[in-house]
Amino acid sequence: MALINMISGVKNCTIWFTSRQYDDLRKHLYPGDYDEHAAVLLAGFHKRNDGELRLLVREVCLAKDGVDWIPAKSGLAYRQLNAKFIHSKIDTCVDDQLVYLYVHNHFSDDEVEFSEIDLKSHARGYSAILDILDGLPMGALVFGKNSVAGNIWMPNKRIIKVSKTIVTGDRYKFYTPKPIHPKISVDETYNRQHLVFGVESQQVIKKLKVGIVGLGGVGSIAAELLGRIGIGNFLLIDPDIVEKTNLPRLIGAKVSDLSVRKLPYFWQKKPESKVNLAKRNILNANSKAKITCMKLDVCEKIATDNLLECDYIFLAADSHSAKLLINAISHQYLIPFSQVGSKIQKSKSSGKITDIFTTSRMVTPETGCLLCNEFINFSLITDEGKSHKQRAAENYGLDNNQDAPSVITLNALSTSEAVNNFLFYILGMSEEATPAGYKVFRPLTREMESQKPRSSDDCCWCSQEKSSQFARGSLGKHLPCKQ
Amino acid sequence: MLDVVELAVKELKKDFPKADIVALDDGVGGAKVLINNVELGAPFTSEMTWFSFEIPFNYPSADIYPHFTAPDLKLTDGRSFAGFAGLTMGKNHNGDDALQISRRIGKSAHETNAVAKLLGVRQWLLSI
Repeated sequence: MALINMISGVKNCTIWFTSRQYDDLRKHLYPGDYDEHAAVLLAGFHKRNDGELRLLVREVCLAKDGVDWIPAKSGLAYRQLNAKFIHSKIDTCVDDQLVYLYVHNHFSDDEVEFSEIDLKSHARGYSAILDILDGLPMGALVFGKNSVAGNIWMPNKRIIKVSKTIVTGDRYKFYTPKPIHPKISVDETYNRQHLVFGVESQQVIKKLKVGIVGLGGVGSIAAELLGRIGIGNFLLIDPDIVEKTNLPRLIGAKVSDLSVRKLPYFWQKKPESKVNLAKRNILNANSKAKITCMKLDVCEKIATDNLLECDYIFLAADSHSAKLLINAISHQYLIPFSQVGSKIQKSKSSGKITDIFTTSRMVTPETGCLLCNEFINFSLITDEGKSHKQRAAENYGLDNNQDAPSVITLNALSTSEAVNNFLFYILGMSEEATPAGYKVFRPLTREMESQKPRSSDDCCWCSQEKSSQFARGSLGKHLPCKQ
Repeated sequence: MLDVVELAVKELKKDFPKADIVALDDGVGGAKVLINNVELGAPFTSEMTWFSFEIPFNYPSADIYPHFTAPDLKLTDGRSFAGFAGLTMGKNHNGDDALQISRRIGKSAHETNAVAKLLGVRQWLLSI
């Protein structure tokens, strides 16, 4: 798709950092010397359907005082970036198709804006930079101690203001140019929750869009919990229908959701889809929720495109193709997710249960990559892309698609933990130490284990390697989904 | 075909310059590839053979397997393929008989590519 089409119709702009990037930048801008400092950010982007342009910070280039950040040559500004530093970053932006963002700091607290001198300096220099960037936007940010403001220049020279700067990763927090005092409408339905999260947080919950991939035993519970909590927008993806053996695990499933009744021809009833069942449950809890149902495999392009509009994703599907795709989305588009499941292991010889564990794995753009932690099997991805007939033919007539043991109470354990973790994270209630990471529960022995995920320096999704897709957004490689 | 799949086909054409390569779009971004006139030789009686395989839409993150080759390959020492792990005779491939070679690499093509996989499969065949 042409670059110009990718960024047409932009209404507002947000900046997305990982917490590590943000902390490094903050330390550089505020080392305690009460002076101005600068940096350049290189960012990927994604324009959402609602007109929000998300700039995803891929790299923070700190300008070294006295070398890259020097006294201004003109009498107007205090300091300026060295031309050589600017050119090298612009070259990188052109080569790698990234957005150039210049950053400096002021000393205000909760409110910040560009000074007149800043604005004159922008007007003087940025038109020429835009021409060099050849169709890519560029911008400037100014930091206050607890605030961030910015202007983004689009290729047609239109200026869009940065409405919010979001930090995701180790924690979830946002900054605005000045404090926001949203109009609060109190819905008494959630009074008991207000006592935990606060009335303002309920407004945040209402505006969130959550994707649930897989509406089986785990996803069904996630949908119910999130619906009851008051999440306002859902995307539900699952290709399956409700079957008899699902009844013990799907929330709200009824016998009348099953099979085709062989009535007179014109009264034939189709079995209910899992997505429609979940939608029914959510609406029972919150009739105002907006729900998009996709009775499709998540690897269909339209399903993938819709997932990019979500603020958070729950991955409740077992397939490795789904894990690969959601993991890729998370790192290329900086959308955190939770992968949830349970496993019952049996001895092949005796059939006896040897282990039961349930897992809740939170993955943020900073930590938890499923690829680095070897949760993605590349051969199984290939198998999943084949039809049952093809798999059976190639596996010497054997069909590996056997049912796995599953119990609703085990699914509830991991799903509840994942949903709690998501809420505390997205509402900023978690402590500064990472809430991400993996949790494994062993119900047989009533033990819980925390696992610190690994990160590989050369991961093609989460690393800072030149070829990685981290934070590349729409100009990164095609996601691993169907064309 | 997705760009990465097209690139894989180009790489195959570059690394097998004497082979005839036909790549058909599978409709979802991947490709079905037939590569004729690949050198074989000892320990086989045939000097040349063909290979066929699918490059999935989620390549390079998905493995490419199995590979198929001529059903009438024979070893010069007369041994049968029966009992060889990873080789299955008499498989139906697009309506024709084929010898199926099942060699999973257990890692993604980010660490290898379609060319290396095919070379690896051929090398494994030559070593039996």
